[in-house]
Amino acid sequence: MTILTDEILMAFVDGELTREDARRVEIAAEQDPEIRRRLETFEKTRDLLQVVSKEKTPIPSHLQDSVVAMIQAADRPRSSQPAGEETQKVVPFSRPKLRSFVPAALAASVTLVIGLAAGVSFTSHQTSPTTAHFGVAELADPDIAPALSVIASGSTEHLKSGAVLNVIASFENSNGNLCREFDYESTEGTSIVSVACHSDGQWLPKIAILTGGTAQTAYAPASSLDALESWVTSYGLGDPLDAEAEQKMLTDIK
Amino acid sequence: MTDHFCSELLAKLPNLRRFALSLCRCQDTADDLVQHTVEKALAARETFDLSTRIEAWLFRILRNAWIDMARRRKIRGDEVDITETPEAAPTEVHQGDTRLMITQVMAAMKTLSDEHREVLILVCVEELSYQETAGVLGVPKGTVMSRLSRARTALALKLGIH
Repeated sequence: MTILTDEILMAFVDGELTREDARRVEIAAEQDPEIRRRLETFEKTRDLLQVVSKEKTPIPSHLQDSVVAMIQAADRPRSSQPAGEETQKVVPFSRPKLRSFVPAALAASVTLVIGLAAGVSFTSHQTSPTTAHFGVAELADPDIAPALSVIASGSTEHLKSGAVLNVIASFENSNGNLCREFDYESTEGTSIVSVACHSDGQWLPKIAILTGGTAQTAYAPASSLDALESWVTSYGLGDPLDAEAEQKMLTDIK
Repeated sequence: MTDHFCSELLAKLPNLRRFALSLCRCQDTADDLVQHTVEKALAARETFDLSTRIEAWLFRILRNAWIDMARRRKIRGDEVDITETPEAAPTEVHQGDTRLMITQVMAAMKTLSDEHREVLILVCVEELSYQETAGVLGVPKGTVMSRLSRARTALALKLGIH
């Protein structure tokens, strides 16, 4: 006779055994008080947790409201808008719920999101009106690009301008190019989270999120990261590379 | 505005929030996670298999969002807020015994590992099957079973059951 493991006894309690196996447990339980005791442990834990589950903690109204708003917002464009790749490229940040979720004081400092379909390179001479118009002047620091080609994710680089660059993660995009997510904190106190992809010897920022940089930043990341994550997913970047894969890609672009 | 999918989604908000709280133990983050989950669910609703239960699908989205968020915070070097949830205490009036018992169970749950807590919530609280839970966690069913049995043994021990 096979041994009745904890898993089997538990599965019996949870109604996950086949009829045959369940019958086997029943017979064993009838004969053996030790089996009954073990079964009881699994029964009791389940019963206790189910009492807990009857506790309905109310959904905060702001959450409820924002979810309803999201559903309404999602309903509207659904019929008219084809879900093509191009439309996905722009950050899905038409998110009324986030606005309502961010404290009023913060709303002013967060969040400028720039989806950069065309791409603008990080070089100091890139000061065309278009660049400024998109606000990427914030990323005009000439030292960003060289640093992105070298430093590992998780490390911090103090740039000559006094700005601080934190490289957060690396990804491989669908073209097999290296993309890097980073924070750039300027000396003026502005902070930008961006993802740039390497292509034809250049780093092209694909998205930039201005997260402010004042006292409220402690609260900012969750919401702005939300947007970034949505974008990373929709842009097809997938999971971040591990250190080894990242190093290999960094070597390749040299 | 509310078709069946959307009303199901709304109906599952308490379950999503409870699961989110069990993962991150911080209300603000839990609410963010729930919103994020709803957003992703709405965007991906075409991929939802109508023959399966929506909560299993939603929990999986939520859990992946949490892993992603936790990873980013870790990479950033930020601390994950593990503020105790004030609402862990039941909000309704209860018989003393039940209330005390719930408080004890909740307290015991908090001392368990994340791995144990989430499998307990999914199976014993949310009543997902082992197979559905395996889908949410992205592990084989056998792993769910061994993890769950250890989690229940650990919980029983903390609560003084045998």
